Amino acid sequence: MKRSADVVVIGAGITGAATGYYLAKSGLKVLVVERGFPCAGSTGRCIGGIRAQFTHDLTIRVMIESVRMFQGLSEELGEDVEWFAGGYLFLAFDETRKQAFFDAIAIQKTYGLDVRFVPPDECVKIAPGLDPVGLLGGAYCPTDGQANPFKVTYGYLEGIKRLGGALVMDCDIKQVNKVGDKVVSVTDAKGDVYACNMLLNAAGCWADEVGTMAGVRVPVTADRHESLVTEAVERVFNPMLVDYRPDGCYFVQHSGTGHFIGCYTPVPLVPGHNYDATDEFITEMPRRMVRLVPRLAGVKVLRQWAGSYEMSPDGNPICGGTSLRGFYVSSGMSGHGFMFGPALGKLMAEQMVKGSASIPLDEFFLSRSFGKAEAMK
Amino acid sequence: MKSKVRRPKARARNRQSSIVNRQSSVVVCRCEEVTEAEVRRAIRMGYHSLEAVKRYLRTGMGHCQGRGCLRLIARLIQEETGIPASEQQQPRPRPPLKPLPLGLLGSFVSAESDTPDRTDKEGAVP
Repeated sequence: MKRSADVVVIGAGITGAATGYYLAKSGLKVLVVERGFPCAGSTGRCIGGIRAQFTHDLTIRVMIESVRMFQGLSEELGEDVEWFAGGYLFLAFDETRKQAFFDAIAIQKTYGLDVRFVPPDECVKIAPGLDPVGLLGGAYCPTDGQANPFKVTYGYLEGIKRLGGALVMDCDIKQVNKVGDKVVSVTDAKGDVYACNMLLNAAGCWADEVGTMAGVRVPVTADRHESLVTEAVERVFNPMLVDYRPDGCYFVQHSGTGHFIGCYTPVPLVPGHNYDATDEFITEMPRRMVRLVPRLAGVKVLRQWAGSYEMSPDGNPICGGTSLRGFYVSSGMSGHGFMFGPALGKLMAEQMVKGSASIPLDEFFLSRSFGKAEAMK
Repeated sequence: MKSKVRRPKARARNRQSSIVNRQSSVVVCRCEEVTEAEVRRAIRMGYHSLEAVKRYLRTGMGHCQGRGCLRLIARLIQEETGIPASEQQQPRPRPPLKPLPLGLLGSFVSAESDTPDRTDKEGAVP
């Protein structure tokens, strides 16, 4: 079987869905091909946080735009994506971290972000039930928030279909076909061929595998993270709490349903794909959550799972064109793919259609030198 | 994709069961309050696997973790697509198999756990 489109997008996670949607909106015929089903990779395993509190200039600018887009996304997609501006509260328990917050806030404020350092007593007001023992304060941005990754991704995919595009599931791309220095089509495991003018590699953690098929290496590696979700309870607090201690954690109460959902970054990091659940996480994560908010002790855990962050060498996305004409990449989101989704999708679509984006993405290009790391990873 | 061969069999079984009938507002997933009609609609939209339906409608993500609904949804997928329930990929069971309080789970590790200090490169937070 042979199908053709203006753009073939590999991967039906948030990146492929959002970029595909804005490409379709610009009038192109978009075909999203997905090895499994939508949200089968990292998007469906993320906890749904959205923030503009970063330190890299371009990241802050893109995220401010993404927050703005999330605010109107339910209307855009005709689907309640459960956007909720509950804020993000980063917590400092040592002077070094506190100073890092001051430094970050100074950068963020230059972009007009509504962010401030809050003393411990105000942290407790923002997050009632928070145990302030040892707390030196927090970095708080009330316009940060959360949304439902499934609703957003499926919403974008349905939008692509409405705009004349299509989603093909169970489509495992095995080959990228070129003529000269230009991409012309892809072939899947069943031998089906999808012809295209442009090809977008939105394969997340598998972006290097897809890139290699085209002769374009993408420096993205998988880091394993685990998460859990609790039963739904009445509203306790609004913000995502980020406890930056070495044995810290981060969690948020889902705005619509009342579930708490959270995870922590393992020390040391666990490279590679591994979706197994561990005993260590299902005991250690609850300990950390209850230490931070003791009144959650009686809330029951429903489920734990694992997923992968698609890490780039500097923790920033890898977006833009490549050495192969017509072949684009958008990956390396380093744990922030969902929150980047709307803005980076729109900007990447501009990049692909017009050759430049309204917020220039040069610092995210694959051709950059991967030097300075994001301080608020 | 619809198999005309399998559908009569599925219909025959439905006649014996009052749970599944067409255009039904019967709640299939009680934890997340998802109806049969919603599940059928999702399947017809192309989300014709237990995993895809789960992510689209949250079926099986509530208190019972799919014990109540997965078999019913597998049957609906079979009816709509002809893919036998026995051949459908099941979502992976996840601990704890019954809901347990955070306080209890957290008590299995001591506060003075030997979590090593962070010495390598820092990972990312969401």
